[in-house]
Order: sequence, then structure tokens, then C-alpha cells
Amino acid sequence: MKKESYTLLANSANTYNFVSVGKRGEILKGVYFEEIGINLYNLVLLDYDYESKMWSDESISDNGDIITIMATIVQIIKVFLNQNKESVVFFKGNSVSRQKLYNRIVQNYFEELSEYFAIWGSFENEREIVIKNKYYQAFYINIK
Amino acid sequence: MKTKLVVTPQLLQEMEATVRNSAIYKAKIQEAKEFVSKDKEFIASIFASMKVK
Repeated sequence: MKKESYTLLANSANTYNFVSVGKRGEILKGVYFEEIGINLYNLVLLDYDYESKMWSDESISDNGDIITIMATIVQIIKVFLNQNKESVVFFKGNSVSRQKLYNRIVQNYFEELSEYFAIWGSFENEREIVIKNKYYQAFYINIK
Repeated sequence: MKTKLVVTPQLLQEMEATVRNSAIYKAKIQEAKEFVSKDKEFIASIFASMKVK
């Protein structure tokens, strides 16, 4: 599934920014990879309000561009892992809505991601290679 | 609707300079660390699977 994604703005290593454009206007988003273990990176997705200078994690910005945002995050994961081939990316929603977003990303891009990456899921006591259309609390992704 | 956003290098630097000190970022990292601490064996198996290729 190839979908339009936002242009990534140049920034420092492990940091990717893009602007979500939709019915609520423009929302500046940051995707960050924080090393939380040796070669284990946590993906953090946040919104930045450049007027109030406040960070937030509104999981559903309701900007009408969720498909484009998902495609952009997939691109970012690809770029990061291709530059960090020995690394594993971890991401987990800290709310039900954010978990649903991450599950949508993995499920909607399952074939595309599976072509290059191994995707692992964690749900309660289950840990396994992700099964399509199964719901997970958290994901781990690495290059195959 | 907000005014037209112009992303300048200064704005990106401002984001970079503030994000990791923000409470929300710290909370997310802390939560992630707590979660992965329960997945230690699983994570080790993922890295092991990468090494055998």
C-alpha cells in the first residue's frame, strides 16, 4: 500500500519533523527515537504548538489526514531502521486511542512493512510475530 | 485556524531544545522503559534472531 506521505523536515539525528495539514490547520509533529536500551529505541510521536510552545500527544488530532500521517510514520520508521540496521524500534500507545492508531498503522501497512521488517507484538502475556488483524499493546520492529 | 505555519530552522531548533525536557516526553519514555523491562527475554530473543542471519 503506497500512500502519500508528508515531506520530512531536516533536523538532527533520531528526530523527524513534519507538518500535518488538514481541516484544523497546520499541526507541527515530531517523531523521536529515544534509546531506552542497547540498540532499542522508543518511537515517540508528539505535537508541538508553536504559539504556546507546548507539547502534546493528542492521539487523534482530528485534522482529517490520518492516512497521510500513518504513511509518514511508516516512512520515518523505514528511514530510521535503514540508518540503524542493528536497532529495534519499540512503540506503544499510552492510551486506547493511541494504541488503536499504532495498530491501524501496523495492520494497514502490514504487507509493506513485512517485506522489509520483522514485526513483533506484545499483548498481555503474549509475545509473538505480529499476526495480521490481531490487536497488540506494543510493537517491536527490526530489519529482517 | 492558526496563521500559516512557516517552519524555520529556529523553530526546529526550538523543538529539539525543548522536547526532551518536556513532561510529556519524559513520561512517555518512563512508561516505555517500564513496559520493556517486562519484555526482557522477548527483546533478547528479537536481537538473537537478528544476529543469526
